[in-house]
Amino acid sequence: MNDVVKFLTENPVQYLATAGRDGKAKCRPFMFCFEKNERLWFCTNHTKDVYKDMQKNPNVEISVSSPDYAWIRLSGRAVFENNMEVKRECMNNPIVKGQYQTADNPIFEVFYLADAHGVLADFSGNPPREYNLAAGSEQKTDVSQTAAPMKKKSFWQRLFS
Amino acid sequence: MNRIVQELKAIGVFYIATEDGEQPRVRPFSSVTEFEGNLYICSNNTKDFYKQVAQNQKVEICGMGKEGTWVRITGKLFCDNRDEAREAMLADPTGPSELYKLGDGIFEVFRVDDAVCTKYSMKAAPEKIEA
Repeated sequence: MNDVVKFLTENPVQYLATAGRDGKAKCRPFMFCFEKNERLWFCTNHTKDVYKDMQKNPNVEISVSSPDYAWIRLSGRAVFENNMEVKRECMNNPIVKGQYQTADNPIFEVFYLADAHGVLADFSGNPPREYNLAAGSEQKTDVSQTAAPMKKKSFWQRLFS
Repeated sequence: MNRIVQELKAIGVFYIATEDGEQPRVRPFSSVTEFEGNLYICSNNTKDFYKQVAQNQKVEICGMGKEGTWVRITGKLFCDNRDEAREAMLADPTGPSELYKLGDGIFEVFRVDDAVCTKYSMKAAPEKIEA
C-alpha cells in the first residue's frame, strides 16, 4: 500500500480509464486524493461523464508514469460513499477547494477503489511489483516466480510501446 | 505535419485506454508517427493491448501538455500489415527500432482512423484539433 500511495502522491495527476456508456473506452487526467483507512480515495462530481460511466460500470483502471519512466497500473472497482470526513479532507487540496468550495457541495462526490490491484514497474531490471489492496488485507505478491524479470534497457528503450 | 501527431509528439508520454471485456485498461505509450498523413501508434502482438484491440478497436488516447492543457483523441485502431507502415514507425526517434524490426513477427502498427482530437485547458474552452 505504501509504495502505491507514494507513487501516486509523487505523480499526482494520473489517467483514469472507464468503460464509456457508448461502448468506447475513455480516459482522462485524474487526481488521486489520499489514502485513508487503507483505502485509496478519489473525488469527482456527479454532473461529469466520468461519474456516469462509473455508475454504469464501476470497473476502472488508473495509470501514470514518473519522470524516470517507472509506471503504475492500478485497477479496481469505484465505490462511492457519502463520507463527510473524506470530503472535508479533500478540501485541503486547493484545486479541489477551488472547484467545489465546501465539502457539502451537493455535486461533490468521493469514491475509493475496492479490490484494487496494482502493478509498479520500471526498467531497473527488477521484476514488476504487484499489490493486492483489498482494504485491511494487503498482500504483496512476489511476481518473480510468474513474470520474467525485465532486462536492463538502454535509454531509448525506456520508452513505452 | 498532421496536427494531432504534433500534439502527441509535444506531449511525449501519452496513455491509451482500451476495453478488456467489462474492465477498462489504460497504459503509457510514447511512440507515434505520421504515415500517409495519418496518425500511427505501435505495439506488439503478444501484449494484452493487442488482444483487447482485436476485440474492440475503439480506443481513447489522452495526454497532458504544457500549461495545464490536455488532449483526448478518440478513434478506431486499424492494424496495418504493410511493411512500409512498419518502416515509417521504426524510423520514429522514440526508438521502437531498439525493440522491434521488420519480420520479427511481433511488431504491429496501428493507424488511428476517425481520429477526433479535442484539446482542453483550465483557462479556455475546448478546441478541436483537425488532423
